[in-house]
Amino acid sequence: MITNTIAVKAVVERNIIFFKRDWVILLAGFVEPIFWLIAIGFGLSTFVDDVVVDGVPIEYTQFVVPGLIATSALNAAAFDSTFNFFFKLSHLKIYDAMLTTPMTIGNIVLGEVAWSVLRATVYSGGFLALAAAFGYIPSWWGVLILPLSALIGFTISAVGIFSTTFVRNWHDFDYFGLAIQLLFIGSATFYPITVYPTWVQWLVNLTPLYHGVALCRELALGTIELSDLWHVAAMLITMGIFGLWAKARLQSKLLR
Amino acid sequence: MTSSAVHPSSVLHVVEHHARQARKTWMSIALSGFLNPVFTMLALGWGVGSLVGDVSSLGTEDYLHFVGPGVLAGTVMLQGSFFSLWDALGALRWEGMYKNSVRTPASYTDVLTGRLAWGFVRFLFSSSAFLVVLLLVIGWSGWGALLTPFVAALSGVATAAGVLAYSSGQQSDKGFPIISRLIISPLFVFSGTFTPVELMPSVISFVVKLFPGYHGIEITRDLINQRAELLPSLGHLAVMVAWLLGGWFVSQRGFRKALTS
Amino acid sequence: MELAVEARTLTKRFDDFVAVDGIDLDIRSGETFALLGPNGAGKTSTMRMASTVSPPTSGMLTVLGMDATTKGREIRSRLGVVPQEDQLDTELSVRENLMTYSRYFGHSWKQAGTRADELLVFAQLTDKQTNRVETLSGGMRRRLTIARALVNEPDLVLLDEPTTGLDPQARQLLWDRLYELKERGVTLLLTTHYMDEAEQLADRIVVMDGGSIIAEGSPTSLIEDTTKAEVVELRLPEGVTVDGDLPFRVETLRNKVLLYADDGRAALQHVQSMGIEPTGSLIRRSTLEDVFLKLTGRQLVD
Repeated sequence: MITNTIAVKAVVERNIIFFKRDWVILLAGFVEPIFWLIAIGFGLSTFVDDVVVDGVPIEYTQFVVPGLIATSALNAAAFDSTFNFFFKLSHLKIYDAMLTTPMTIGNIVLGEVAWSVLRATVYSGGFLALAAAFGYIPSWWGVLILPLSALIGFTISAVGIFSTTFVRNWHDFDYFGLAIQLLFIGSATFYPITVYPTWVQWLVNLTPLYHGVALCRELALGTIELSDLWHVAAMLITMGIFGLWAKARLQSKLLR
Repeated sequence: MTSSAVHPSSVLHVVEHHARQARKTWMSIALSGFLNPVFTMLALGWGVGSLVGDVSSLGTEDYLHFVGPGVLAGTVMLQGSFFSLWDALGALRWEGMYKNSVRTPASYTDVLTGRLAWGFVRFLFSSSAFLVVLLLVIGWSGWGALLTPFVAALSGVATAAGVLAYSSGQQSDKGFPIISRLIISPLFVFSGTFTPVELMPSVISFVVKLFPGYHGIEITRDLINQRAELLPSLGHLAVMVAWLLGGWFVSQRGFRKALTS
Repeated sequence: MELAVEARTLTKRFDDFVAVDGIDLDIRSGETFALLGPNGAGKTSTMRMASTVSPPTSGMLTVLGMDATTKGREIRSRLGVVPQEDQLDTELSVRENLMTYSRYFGHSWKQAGTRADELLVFAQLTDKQTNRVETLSGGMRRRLTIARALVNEPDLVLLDEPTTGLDPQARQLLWDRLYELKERGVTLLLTTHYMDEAEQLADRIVVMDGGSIIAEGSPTSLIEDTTKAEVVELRLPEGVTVDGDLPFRVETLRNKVLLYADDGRAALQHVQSMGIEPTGSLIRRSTLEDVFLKLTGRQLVD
């Protein structure tokens, strides 16, 4: 009898087999945040003043880089858990076929999430290495950005799969495009959330990426404190709620 | 009907056909063509703007006056690109929309011309809506501002024509993710949307000036900041028109092959 | 006698719609069993319940001796399923489809590879193994789907409309493959709305309509018990009908009249002696189509 570990692995393998042929697409996704880095390093940082974080002024590029690392995890996980997930669910219908084997809905959801996590970690990891090489990761705490990227991938993927269970057709993905843009720009990536009115700050605290960006920055700068565990908790809670909810929704969708 | 002459009435029919379809997908167009860029402009204009100290390298009053027009024209460039990727392949090959069109008196050239004309109309609408928000935020900035939707739509349709020259010859969307992530994305980031092109390494600033998006952004920014001059503007316009005509000309080949064989 | 599938008052309801209305089934190990009926008869719902991807609303269902509602995973590990719309992974190659599917049963890559090679031979797809599924014809896709259902050497194979939409040649090729399975002693449960398919393949048949079973038996016994040996199909001139006291049963359809008799030729002569001149006539053997018409007063495929 198949174990759950092998079942989850089997889902990941299917994606690896697919992307082996189209590895250029994987690479292209990795390159995108690097364009932003160049635009900011050469451009914005020349006319944007230092950003004050916890009372300490920080050079603008240094401020943005951790945010970009976190958003590259977002990009990786968001695409697979929304667009690609919908394609497999509603067009290829491969999950229907998989459910006639010993695989369960839980195996499938966890497998797809695991794949997103893998991709998010590889993207962020690559970017992290690059940023460290250019001296943008001054603290050794920065090593922890790697597991953090996995956590971001996990959270985004759970929310992504959950949201995708509501999608009716391809046009609905334009809402996703807007949501991803909101997360990308609004999550303290390019400026601290203190520029927002208080009520907006509260809203931002409810979004999944913000906590990832905040932690990533603290780790890169080595200003991490015990109280920052709150960000980890926020992500774990989001991940748990949406992951289980996604599973329940798929259950009633596919096994009816 | 394979002649390459343009019949204005047939072109209009193609535009009308698209406009009718858009009644069903207008929400999609509004989300990606209006809400998304408005949000981007406000977030960056106010958010990053609050951190900008020295505006001398921008040549504008503040960062909002720089990034607002940048996002206005930059978005239309993005829209123009996507308009010529999956959307175009769908109409040309997957859904059979254009195959039905060429069974009417319309020639493949009419279909191509109609598609680009529809693109111009669509971009004109979305950039006008954006302009209204921009002017509400920065205040009235002269009659020249009213020209910006036309300039932006022209840069959008010039980009669309260029991308179409490639995509109309493709059998599948296999190469599209690469085009979108490795060519369109960097052009959007580097064409002066968020940061002056002059500050970029010279290779980058040289390359982006070859494409129509940069020129659309430049005129739009000059008009909004009331500093447009005739001669440079004509230069920018010439580049965009050249892309439009060149793209239109090359795309005929792809349309002919897809629709008349 | 061991039963591969056993159902008692099995019911499936979707909101107000009753898809399967309290059916009983006994499918023996090693036999080929067909569910026959028009679209909407409840065949697919029954199949989905048997493959444990659709929980019954009420009633009892055991598959391979295990309770379908609680032992889904165990049952599925010994089941092969050929769904109506192949559900192949069209982004992968033929061989990769078999390999990845094998992994879903927990096989090692090596096992999966050996099995894939055997099945490619069985499905006559060896020379297509590196092709993307997208490029295959309908018949090839169907054969691949059947091969995929066999990766775990199942004891029971469920086939939902295996030949719908295929051309005659592709159907024949597919039937050959199913015969081979039958000879190996695999239990086959299939649904179909084609009479000839049920007659060719099935040992036993149930006829379903509106969620219920309306007849059951072997193809020959069903025909013998329900209808006469031969059928005369008549096409009549506009306005002419066949009625009165006749020594055979008459069915009047939209565009033709059917006469059911043990001797078709005699029945045709009888009609002609009444002064009726058909514009066309055909004498043939009775089929399950006629059984269905007798039982429901409707045609199976229209």
